[in-house]
Amino acid sequence: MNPIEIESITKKYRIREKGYNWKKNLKQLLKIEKQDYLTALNKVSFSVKKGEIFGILGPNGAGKTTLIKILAGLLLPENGKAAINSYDIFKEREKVRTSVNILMSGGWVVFDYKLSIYNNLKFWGVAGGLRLDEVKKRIEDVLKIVGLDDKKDDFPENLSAGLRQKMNLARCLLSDRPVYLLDEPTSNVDPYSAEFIRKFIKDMKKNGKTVVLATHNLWEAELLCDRIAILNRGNILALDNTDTIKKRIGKEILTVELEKITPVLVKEISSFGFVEKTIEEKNRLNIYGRIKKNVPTLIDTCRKHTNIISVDIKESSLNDVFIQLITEKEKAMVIK
Amino acid sequence: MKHTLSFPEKLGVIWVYLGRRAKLWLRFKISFVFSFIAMFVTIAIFYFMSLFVGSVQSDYYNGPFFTFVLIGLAVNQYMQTTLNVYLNTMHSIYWSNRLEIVLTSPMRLKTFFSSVMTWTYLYATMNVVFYFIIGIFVFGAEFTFPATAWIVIPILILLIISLSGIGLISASMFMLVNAKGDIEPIGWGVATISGLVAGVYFPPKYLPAPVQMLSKILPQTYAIDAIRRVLLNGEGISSPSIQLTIVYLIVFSIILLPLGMFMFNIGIRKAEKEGTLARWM
Repeated sequence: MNPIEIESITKKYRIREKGYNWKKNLKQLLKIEKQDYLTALNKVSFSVKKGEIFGILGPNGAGKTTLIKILAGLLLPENGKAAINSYDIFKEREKVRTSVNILMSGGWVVFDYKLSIYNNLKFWGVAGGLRLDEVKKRIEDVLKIVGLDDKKDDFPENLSAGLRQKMNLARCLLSDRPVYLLDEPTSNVDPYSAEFIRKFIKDMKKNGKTVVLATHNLWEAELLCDRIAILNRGNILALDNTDTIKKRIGKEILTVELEKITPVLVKEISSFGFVEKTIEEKNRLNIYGRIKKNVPTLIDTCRKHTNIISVDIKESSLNDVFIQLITEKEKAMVIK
Repeated sequence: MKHTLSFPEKLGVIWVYLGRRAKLWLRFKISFVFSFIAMFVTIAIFYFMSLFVGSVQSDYYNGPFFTFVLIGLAVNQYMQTTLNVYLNTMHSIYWSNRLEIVLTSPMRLKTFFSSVMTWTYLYATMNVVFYFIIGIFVFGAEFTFPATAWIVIPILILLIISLSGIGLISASMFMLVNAKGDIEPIGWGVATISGLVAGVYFPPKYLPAPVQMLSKILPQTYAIDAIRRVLLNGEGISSPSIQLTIVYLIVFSIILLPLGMFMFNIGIRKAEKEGTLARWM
């Protein structure tokens, strides 16, 4: 069985009013008053294999953090099925929670700013099940891994954001667990620290850990993830490895630099069934669609009308695919 | 991959937590000094008030008000601690986003609460000892500490257990009705009313009859009365009123503690459903 298996998970949130209304809350608790809900996840299904890095991509509010928290057993979905490390998230929540390591963006707020890194980690180490006689060695080991071994007596209040995230990572590593849930681990950290964290995630994979990475950094996802799920408004829009998604959803773009672009030429190009759209940029014509096999036809057509200066062909990046998918979904919502 | 901690490991968590809190406490030296000054001033106020009030006359005690009120203040420390510790802990771990990390650790919420409570009661005990030291050695309060004084400990434990029920109900409101402000009506109400009706500062018999009725439904009224009977009158376990107090406190504990735990668990379950275990989603 895969370490992560989820099927038709749906999560709704109660829509809260601005401010605090004790009376209304009590009425809603006693079910005297009806509540309004927002669907954060809609029948989401996927599985993650052992040793896989699985990316969850989506714009703000897509449901990434909600999904991470459900996988960590910290949030109960309304319905669906899910097993993490073979533990049912409805019936064995406590086992689910202790079989994953969760790293939230800005999670360093759990540290006491007036205690040294060592003293902070000591508590979370014994809380995670380390014996008093082994906690010191383990802290030294993890601080070495994250590169904070020379800062163990420093106070969190004196550390930069990048170092705080490393400290957070160290806390996460104190307990050895098979699944790591990382929610935007490189957000708000400098490029050097971000690179360190990325390398670290790759090492986790090498050590056979399963990693779920929620991010909106597409470049990072493309670099690290074996497979990705693109999430928007609680729906999975695409799920596969990045190359397949790009091939399946992305478009090929042929950019032809011409001596001059005429309306007749554009009309003729656009009339081909394999061309989805054309965009003119000064004397460059960008042709989108299933282009690769039809390059000779397009070149010949252009030649008929004018001289060709240069030709370039490229595929959509993950960023293009992501924007395309989200835009299409948003348009569909508006039409509805 | 550990799912739960063994008993020695739980003790280890409590031990490390105590060390951590002690370090933090000592780090804030000015606050430490000011809290002792505040306690000294409180004792002094009641001492000078006692010069004005004179003596207290109750069914079992006829002596200085200062000695009488010192016991009330000491028990009040434990009372207020118990009523507030659960809600304060929820506040603290919620606003610092620690609740989720606590839940994903094998120590679980119970051990975390046990750690916080151990520290809080040690602190309360230190305050009580300080009250008595100042009261006896600076202001001359007269205590005989009879041989039966040991009975105070089980009475205090029963009081803490029964008030824990109310404390847990108060903490459950944090999640059940989103009472995340500074004041939660149930805990605050019981704590405030206790000061008036439970006999902390004066015997409840001076209250109007309907208000006296209110005092009878609070476990602290019985506990304060019984502790005074022991420390001021030398009564022991053979005293019918002490026995009756113990029975009352057991009944309060049997009713309130399971109710508090039940409501607290419902609160956690609701927060898990609504995604309000952490401050930020």
